[in-house]
Amino acid sequence: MVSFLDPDVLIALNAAVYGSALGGFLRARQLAFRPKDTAKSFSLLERSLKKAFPDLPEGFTWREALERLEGTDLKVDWQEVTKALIQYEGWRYGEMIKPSDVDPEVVRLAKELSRGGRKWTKA
Amino acid sequence: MDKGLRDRVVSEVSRIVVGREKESELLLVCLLGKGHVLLEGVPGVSKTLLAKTFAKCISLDFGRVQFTPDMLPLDIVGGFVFNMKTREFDFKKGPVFTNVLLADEINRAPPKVQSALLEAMQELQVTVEGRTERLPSPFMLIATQNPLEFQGVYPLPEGQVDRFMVKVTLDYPNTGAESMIIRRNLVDIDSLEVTPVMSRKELEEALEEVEKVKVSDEIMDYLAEVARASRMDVRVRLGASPRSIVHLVHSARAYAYLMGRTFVIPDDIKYLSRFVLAHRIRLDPSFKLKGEELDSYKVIGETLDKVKPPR
Repeated sequence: MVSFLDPDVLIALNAAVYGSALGGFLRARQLAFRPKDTAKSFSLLERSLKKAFPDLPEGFTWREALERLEGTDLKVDWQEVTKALIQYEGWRYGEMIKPSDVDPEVVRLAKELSRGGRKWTKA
Repeated sequence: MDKGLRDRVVSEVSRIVVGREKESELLLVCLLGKGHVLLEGVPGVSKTLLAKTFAKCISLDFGRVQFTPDMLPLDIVGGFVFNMKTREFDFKKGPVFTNVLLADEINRAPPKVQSALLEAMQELQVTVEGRTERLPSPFMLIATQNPLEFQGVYPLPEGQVDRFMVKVTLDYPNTGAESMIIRRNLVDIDSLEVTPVMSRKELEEALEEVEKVKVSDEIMDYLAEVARASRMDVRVRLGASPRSIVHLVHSARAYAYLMGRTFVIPDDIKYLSRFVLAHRIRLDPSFKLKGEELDSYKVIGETLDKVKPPR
């Protein structure tokens, strides 16, 4: 019979409790993270996309990724996301000025994806 | 940036040719990208009608040559004819001296005749017996060909295939489009007048605007990486040439302009690669012999999946 006073069991229990607490803390920090500008919003989204869709090929583009996500039931305003992407593309590939504001919908999308474990069913 | 131009041309072509919106758009991309188009398809899928209708939509001079096995290069580029009055040889221009030339069934002519177009396609000039003549500007060649499996056709030399900016394969239309074709053909299709929807001035302005479309350094590096990756693939015997990448960037600029943008995005490159790169890729036949389901479209798609675009 396993005794909870056994030092080995206690160590394992401690490791489990503190480990999950640390994991929860890091996760909360990650979810509370607010990117400072549009470029950081999109790099956050890139990380979240790669995590949520491990099968996403290395050569994916923003539009391809968004097209894949638009059929899901993620609670984001797709019009706002598309608008933010167009502005981002204008700065990233064109000669437009860098959008100064953070794109809240892009950040929300990244965080929705980061929550993980969630099933995104086709709408 | 003119998305309206694209819509005008595509809808005017669609009035005559059913279900060929994407192909009309690609013809326009080639015209604005200063390239040439190869249309491939089995007989009766409206290759010639598409080319003719497109040429009529834009207010440019149009010529047509029906390629046959007994043709000579002079039948295309022209040649010297003795003038009885002046007692001198005068240069008589061939049908290539036009803005839009339809080379119908180009692969019915032997390679010598097909090669007569090489200089015209690349340098926009022809040289006959030491005399060089510039072609009118713009010059666009729209060639049609039957698939190689058909009788009486000669394969185009690699050097010529590489000079076509885009190759468009025309498949059979879907059922809906086919019933529409039947309905439209109850009236004489040739009697349907094509209205020019783009003036020469408008075209010149559009060509100038396309030149201004920005291609960032990162996009250019991405293109170079795609070309390199296509050559590194073990299944590929002949990968994307430097010329094909130049064609890809020109077509991407034209496409971005038609989509109403002042800059090229990676999606433009990915979309057009299928039409610009695939026909230049030669696969190693040993992979097919091993029973692998392989074609150049698949290889290009896989290459693009591997190369990270700037994000």
